[in-house]
Amino acid sequence: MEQQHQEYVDYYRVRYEKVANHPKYPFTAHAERELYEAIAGAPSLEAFGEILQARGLNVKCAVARIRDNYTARARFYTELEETVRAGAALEILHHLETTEYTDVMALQSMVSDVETRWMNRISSDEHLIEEFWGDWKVLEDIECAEYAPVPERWKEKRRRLNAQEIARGIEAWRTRTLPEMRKFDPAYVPDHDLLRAPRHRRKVPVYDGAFERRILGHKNYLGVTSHAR
Amino acid sequence: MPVELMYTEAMLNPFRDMMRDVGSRGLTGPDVDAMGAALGEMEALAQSLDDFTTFSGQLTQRQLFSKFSDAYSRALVAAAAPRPGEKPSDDSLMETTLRAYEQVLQTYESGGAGEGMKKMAPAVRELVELGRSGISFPVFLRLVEERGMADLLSGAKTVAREGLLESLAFSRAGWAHYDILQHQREVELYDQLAAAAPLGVPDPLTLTLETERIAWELEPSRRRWDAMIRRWETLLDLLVDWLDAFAAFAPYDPRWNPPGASREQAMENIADTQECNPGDFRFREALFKEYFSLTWPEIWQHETFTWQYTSNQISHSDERLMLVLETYPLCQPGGRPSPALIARTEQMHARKAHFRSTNGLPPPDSPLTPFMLPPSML
Repeated sequence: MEQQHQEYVDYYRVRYEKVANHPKYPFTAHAERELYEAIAGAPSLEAFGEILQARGLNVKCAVARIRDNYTARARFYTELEETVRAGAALEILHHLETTEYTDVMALQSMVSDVETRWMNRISSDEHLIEEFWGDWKVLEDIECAEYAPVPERWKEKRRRLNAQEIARGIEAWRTRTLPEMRKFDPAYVPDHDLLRAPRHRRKVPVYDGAFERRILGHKNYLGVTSHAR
Repeated sequence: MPVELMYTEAMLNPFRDMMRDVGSRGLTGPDVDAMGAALGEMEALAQSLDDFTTFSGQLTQRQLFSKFSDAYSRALVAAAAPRPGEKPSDDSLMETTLRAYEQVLQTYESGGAGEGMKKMAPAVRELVELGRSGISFPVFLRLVEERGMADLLSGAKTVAREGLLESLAFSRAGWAHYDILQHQREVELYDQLAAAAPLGVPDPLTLTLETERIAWELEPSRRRWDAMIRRWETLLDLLVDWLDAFAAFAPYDPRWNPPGASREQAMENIADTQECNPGDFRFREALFKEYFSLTWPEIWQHETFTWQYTSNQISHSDERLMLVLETYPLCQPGGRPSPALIARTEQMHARKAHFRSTNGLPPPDSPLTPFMLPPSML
């Protein structure tokens, strides 16, 4: 065997050994093994090149890597109940099931398109919980100003300041936050019901009673009803 | 008015560099045309929009980054492919690969890929130097695989252990509790994966996902920790302000007499604090118990308090904290502090002893030191 041929055999052997028996890479290991055996058994590099083309071994390896990678991601996010974060992986796996890729660039293009679209969805999905938790202290201040046991003579001033604060919240949501969100997701609508989903609820580490009370306060603070636009 | 140059330069320069790169190689064809079209659209948006967020949102929505990058990759692959009947040349493959890495290196070093990616520059430089060292292309490829450098261009999370240790040391120096926990677990994870990997390099996919799991697992308690501190700090401030509002210095203190306020406004602010802080304090104390199931005495022995106290992140002096403890039972709606407490806070302010002498100093490198509570509270 020529030295160059041997060097390529060593390279493909290392690639195969990296994934052989790895629980996350069953498809990759199979494809890499096929590639390694093809070059190791080929009489020359030129002959290997023909086998590579004829059997589409490079594309098989690329598809297998994507399949293993996104299977691991889908399992990971599903296990964590991060259903939206799992979306890109599940869609990519669906494409692999329903389309036969014969071109690595087309495969990469599909992955890149799906990932970009889902990045926007994730950001839309996670925006409200961050806004909610970020506003929590203001909601608490409003509640305190309304219900704390203070002398009667201060109550009117507190009600006035609360009304001003809520008007500021509604204005900021209507004129700044919502338009900013719609630059990335033109169909964005805040849905406070979604905050109860496990992926969001876990980010607010207080009892349910306080959580539900703050949801009502937050809708009022943003000036939205249950599915308001 | 176009988007500000400083933003568009940082965002578009890496793409302009790649465009120049294909031009300098004399590459042409549909892929280069597609690159030009995507870049042209980015440039036009930068000129026609006046707001950076809108600009960035449009680039994302139209998927211009990925369209450009796909076309660039296709152009490079096409340039490296042998012509029909021509034997593949390892030299040209090596050259194409190294030029792509050099392009990445330039983008990383210039900050074009963000500050975070600057850390990756030494690893990419090492890879380029390896390729330029005179070894053959297949040997280069094998070494890249063996050293775990194969994912640098694909954007997978390739983390050097040194980088993790650096982050851990940084968070320790700043006494950032949850950052320390997170980075400690990341180092342990790295070592476990490296020990189990056939070539001693952690699998990048496993490392990426398990690192994300660590952050995910810690997130609720991290938020709870921060929320607790913020709220007991408010409780302390309410008591401090209430007591001080009765002191002779109150009408001159900026807490009640901000710049431009009249004497009348200052006196109204003082009356507000004197009369409302007890009700506010009791309401927030009840909220604290509702959220975290902790009572007032328990706050002082809680790990969040000890952590902040040890790391100079509580600005009140011990003397003032003791006053706060003595003020607590008196701070009831309709109540007022005793003349003795008022006199003590006045004397403490005259001596400027209300803030800790270590306030603003870097946190000490010492074990946790709990605040010494009076025996009546133990």
